[in-house]
Amino acid sequence: MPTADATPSPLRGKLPGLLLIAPALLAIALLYVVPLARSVIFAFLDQDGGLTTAHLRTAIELYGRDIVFTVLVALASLALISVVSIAIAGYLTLGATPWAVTALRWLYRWPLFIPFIVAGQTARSFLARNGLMNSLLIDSGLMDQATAQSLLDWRGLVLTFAWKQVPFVTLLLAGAMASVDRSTVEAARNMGAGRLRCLIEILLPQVRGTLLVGLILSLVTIMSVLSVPMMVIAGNPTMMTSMMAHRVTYYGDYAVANALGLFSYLITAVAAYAYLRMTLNQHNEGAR
Amino acid sequence: MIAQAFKTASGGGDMGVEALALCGLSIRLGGVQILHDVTLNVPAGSFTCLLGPSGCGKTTLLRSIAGFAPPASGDIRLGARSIADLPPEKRGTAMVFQSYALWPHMTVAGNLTYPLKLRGIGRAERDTRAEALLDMLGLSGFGPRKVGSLSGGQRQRVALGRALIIDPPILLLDEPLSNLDAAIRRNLRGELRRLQQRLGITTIMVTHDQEEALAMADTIVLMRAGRVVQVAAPQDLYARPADLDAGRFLGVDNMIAGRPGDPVAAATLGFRSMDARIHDAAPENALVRNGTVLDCAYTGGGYHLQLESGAEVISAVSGVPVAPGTQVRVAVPTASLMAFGANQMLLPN
Ligand SMILES: Nc1ncnc2c1ncn2[C@@H]1O[C@H](COP(=O)(O)OP(=O)(O)O)[C@@H](O)[C@H]1O
Ligand SMILES: [Mg+2]
Repeated sequence: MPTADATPSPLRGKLPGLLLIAPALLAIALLYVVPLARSVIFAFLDQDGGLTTAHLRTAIELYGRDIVFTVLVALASLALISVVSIAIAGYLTLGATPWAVTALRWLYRWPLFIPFIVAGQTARSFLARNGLMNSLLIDSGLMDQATAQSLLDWRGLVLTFAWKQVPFVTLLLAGAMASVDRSTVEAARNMGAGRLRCLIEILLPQVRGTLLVGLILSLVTIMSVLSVPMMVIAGNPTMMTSMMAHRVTYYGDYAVANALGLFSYLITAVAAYAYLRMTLNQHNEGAR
Repeated sequence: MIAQAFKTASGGGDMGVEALALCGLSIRLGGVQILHDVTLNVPAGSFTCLLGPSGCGKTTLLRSIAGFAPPASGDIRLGARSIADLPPEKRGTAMVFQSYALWPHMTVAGNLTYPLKLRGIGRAERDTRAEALLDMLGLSGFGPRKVGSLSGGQRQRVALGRALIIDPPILLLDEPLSNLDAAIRRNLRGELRRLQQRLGITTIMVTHDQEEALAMADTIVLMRAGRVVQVAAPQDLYARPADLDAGRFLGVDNMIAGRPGDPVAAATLGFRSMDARIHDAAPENALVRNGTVLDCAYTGGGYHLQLESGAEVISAVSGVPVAPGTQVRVAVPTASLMAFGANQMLLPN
């Protein structure tokens, strides 16, 4: 005699699976989704719990310059990161001097293992007006004492971010380049392309997806690092991270800090969108 | 006429056809000597095949001509000048890689025109030439396609077109047909040969397929373990391989010890099974052996026999089936015999 129990409900069938992934789901919800949603919501709530755009307006009014500064510094850093990592990865892949390639392979990675805070501190003592770099330049007679200037402004930020992120992007890029079919490069050289053209016109187009991933991850890092702007830059304008920390620690003003955070999300979201679009395009092309 | 169209399409031969000479070329890769003292002359406009078993150094030889394997000693001359010290991009040799090595991020037309772009030729002319070349290769309308969407045979044509578009003084082909189906391969074999004759371009092709080499080459260079064993026209190579191993590689499947009464005096006599036939009466001017049929297999046009003759096994053919165990007499015409000395080398006749 058939009973109601005999036909298992759809939920009953899925229950063990749900139980298995529940801890992971819970952790994601508690650690990521809830704080993220909270901070977005709090950016739009006034003291009485009503909706307002006042925080957003305050953020733009007080920190508009910092937002623009942040975007420009991030773009300049990414440009520098691209150029340097393409050059290093290209040399690692196409270099003709074996000992130089081996030496470079050993050297380029070590900033990966240095924390941002140490990088910021080192940059500070290296790039200041009477810092190590200027001392070296003056001692070697390459620069005059009078023209020495401090690089502890946007340039210091760009250099520090690039120094820290180049090894990471190079690591990804060199791996991708190593797996490109070597004969495509040889065919180009056979047809008359020099090494540089091979790098830019043959290798790079075949690894541009990897480069983009590296740059997007670097962008997110640059948007999140607090220690470097705190260490390298004294005055205004500065990075948004610095301003958010300032807003929270000095004023306890979470609402405006959240509004600033919203701009960070927006900037990284644009990058993520560009990345998704590109991978989808590539996917479609591959399927065609 | 097509050759004419092609000549104009590819800019009228500013390089010209040139001869290639390798003088005492040795190559070491990763501490291992791959090529030993290779000397070779390739006349201008000829079609030369490098033939040899896999791993004997054919690709390495081709790559050294293109500049991808630096010689440990020796010289490479193209026409009057030495190219041994030039980087690959300065040599002007056009190579078709075994894997074709098409650029996956470019279209078919992009692949064809990139070499022209490297030579600073304007867009309009690049497009015209690519168009003409696509017509010649039977790929009209394929210009905007991605190379990933092409079949093996089509890729092979694009790779060939990309090499030819710069009108090179010499064309290097690394097993260009080995990745294709047998039927397409046979078609392309003739096509490639006719194209080479129309353009009159000096061509070196690597292959491990003796049938392909015999069908296509003016001259075959037989290689073994990094050395040149024999350089000869296909008919000569086929009829008179330099030594026992060369003979085996060229399909001489019977190698038997010579006996006093044989028509040719030799330590070893070689012949192909298709030249060995069953006879009732011993014919004139022939090598004769008696044996017991071990096996008889139908091969389409006739039967293939394995005979036991003393301690030796002889392969022969027959128009009619012969039952295993039958005693038969097999004869090979003297003209089809190859006589090898005790040192395994072919004896002069
Ligand atoms: N880069 C290399 N380093 C060391 N050995 C190599 C290298 N390239 C090829 N070889 C060796 O050289 C020999 C000849 O290779 P190759 O020229 O590719 O032969 P083929 O084309 O006749 O099959 C092989 O034994 C191969 O293992
Ligand atoms: Mg090979």
